Amino acid sequence: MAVPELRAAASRREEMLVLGARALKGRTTVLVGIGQPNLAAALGKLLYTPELIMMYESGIIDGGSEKLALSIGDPALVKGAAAICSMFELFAYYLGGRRIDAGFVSAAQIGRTGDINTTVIGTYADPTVRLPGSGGASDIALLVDELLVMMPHEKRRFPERVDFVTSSAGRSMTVITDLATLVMSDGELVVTAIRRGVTRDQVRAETGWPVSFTDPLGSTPPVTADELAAVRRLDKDGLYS
Amino acid sequence: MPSTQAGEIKVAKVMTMAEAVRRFVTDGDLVYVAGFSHAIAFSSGHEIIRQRKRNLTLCRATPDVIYDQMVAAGCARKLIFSWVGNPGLGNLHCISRALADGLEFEEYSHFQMLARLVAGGTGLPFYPMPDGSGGELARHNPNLKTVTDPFSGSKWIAVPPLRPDVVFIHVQRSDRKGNIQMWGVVGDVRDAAASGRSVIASVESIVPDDVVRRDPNRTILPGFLVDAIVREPWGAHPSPVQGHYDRDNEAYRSWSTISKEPNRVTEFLDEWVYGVDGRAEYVRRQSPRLNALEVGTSLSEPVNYGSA
Repeated sequence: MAVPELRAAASRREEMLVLGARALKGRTTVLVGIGQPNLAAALGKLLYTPELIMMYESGIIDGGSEKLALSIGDPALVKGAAAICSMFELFAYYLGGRRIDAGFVSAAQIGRTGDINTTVIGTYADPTVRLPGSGGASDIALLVDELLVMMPHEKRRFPERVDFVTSSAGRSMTVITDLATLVMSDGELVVTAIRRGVTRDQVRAETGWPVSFTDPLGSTPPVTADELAAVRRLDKDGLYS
Repeated sequence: MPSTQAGEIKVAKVMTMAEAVRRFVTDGDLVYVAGFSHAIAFSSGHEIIRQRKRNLTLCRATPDVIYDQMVAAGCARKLIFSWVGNPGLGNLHCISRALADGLEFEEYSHFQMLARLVAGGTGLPFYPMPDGSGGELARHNPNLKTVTDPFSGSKWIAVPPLRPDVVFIHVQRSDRKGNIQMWGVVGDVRDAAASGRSVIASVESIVPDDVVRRDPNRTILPGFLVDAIVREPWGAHPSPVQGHYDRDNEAYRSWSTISKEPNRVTEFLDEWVYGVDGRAEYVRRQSPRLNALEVGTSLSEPVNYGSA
């Protein structure tokens, strides 16, 4: 089987996925959304947290696949899973019963106070863009101990206030972007680390409010060859990186 | 019907999809086509389109391509949902156009939607959700109301019961009495069916009673809740059915292109919905590409139900 030749360095998106994987160290249970969060969590389980129990809102618990799922009800995730429960059981017992450590989602917009929007751009009554809405995201944000969010760092996605509050800010929140890591501190998202080669001015330029940086500011340990190989193996079609 | 023979009544449950839709769906009904990302009852939606049912309130957690097609065909007066998109591919374009043109809708989070079904199915007056549930939706959806916990005095958000007039489900198998067995992602199927005034189940196969009775724990719905059984192989295509066929990702991708242009939507419906008399003909015409969706075999060990 051909092994793809590794490029010299990780792309910003590959680095973001690796940081998501690292962020799950020490967690036991995580409810993941499909797409980049799923890939990052799968990477974390593979590299750092083999006991991590990944769950999907479809009711799949500890899904069995190394194949990357396009849908959270993918039959490939069912085969080899530890359990399948109904959606209601998942939301009521495990999420509502506060049995899930972390949620890992993506977002269209995130605001200064950590509110997330996946519902509309513009007004709710007359939107310029209609987005999918909550799905389970607002329930997850409300009912997990820690919310991880992964999204590209662009000014239009980081407004001072989101157009619509789909999910209120969680108690504890970490936002991992291709430029920086932000966490909630005194009710506001602040930058705790920036990527190597990224400047504060770049982060400021792509953030819609006068964002604060912690002092000292963390740097991001470089992506290792193992991490890079794993992310490219998991996402061999390059769908998410 | 004067018959008192239990056997005749049971047999009478088995019918075609055309007959089930004719008998159980009335214009103006609240309809729930169940199946969360798996085993979506597509063939029922197509039959509803063929019979030109109108003014339906279409309810599903995730409207998916099936409701995009039903909305495009003019079946819907209103949409109730909690996540409206073509998974991984962006918008449901027909629904987006209809919403922009003023199609009435009600929006929830997934947990709220499921809680509405559970309240409906169990006879509760409402289901309490944690304060903050649904974010800003509470300002726009009058069905999200604040209640006080009579024990602690804390604030909750109440959602009302949902009782669809007709619920369509698609599963792997049932017997002729409608005892429903399903595996893989069950999703919203049981909760939707238990809340429905009528339940129509399409199945990949109808099996002898003793097949069901040798494995009663796999039954997710007892037959007395089920009004009609339709033998409909490939009834969920292009969604997958565990152990039967894979998701037709290409069909979902293709719909994401087709649905951008209303004239191509019309052509699609003419060819694949109005142009076939039912799922069997659809399957015959799709068959070259359906072969690619075959799945492997992965058996679980039998369990011992032995008793003294």
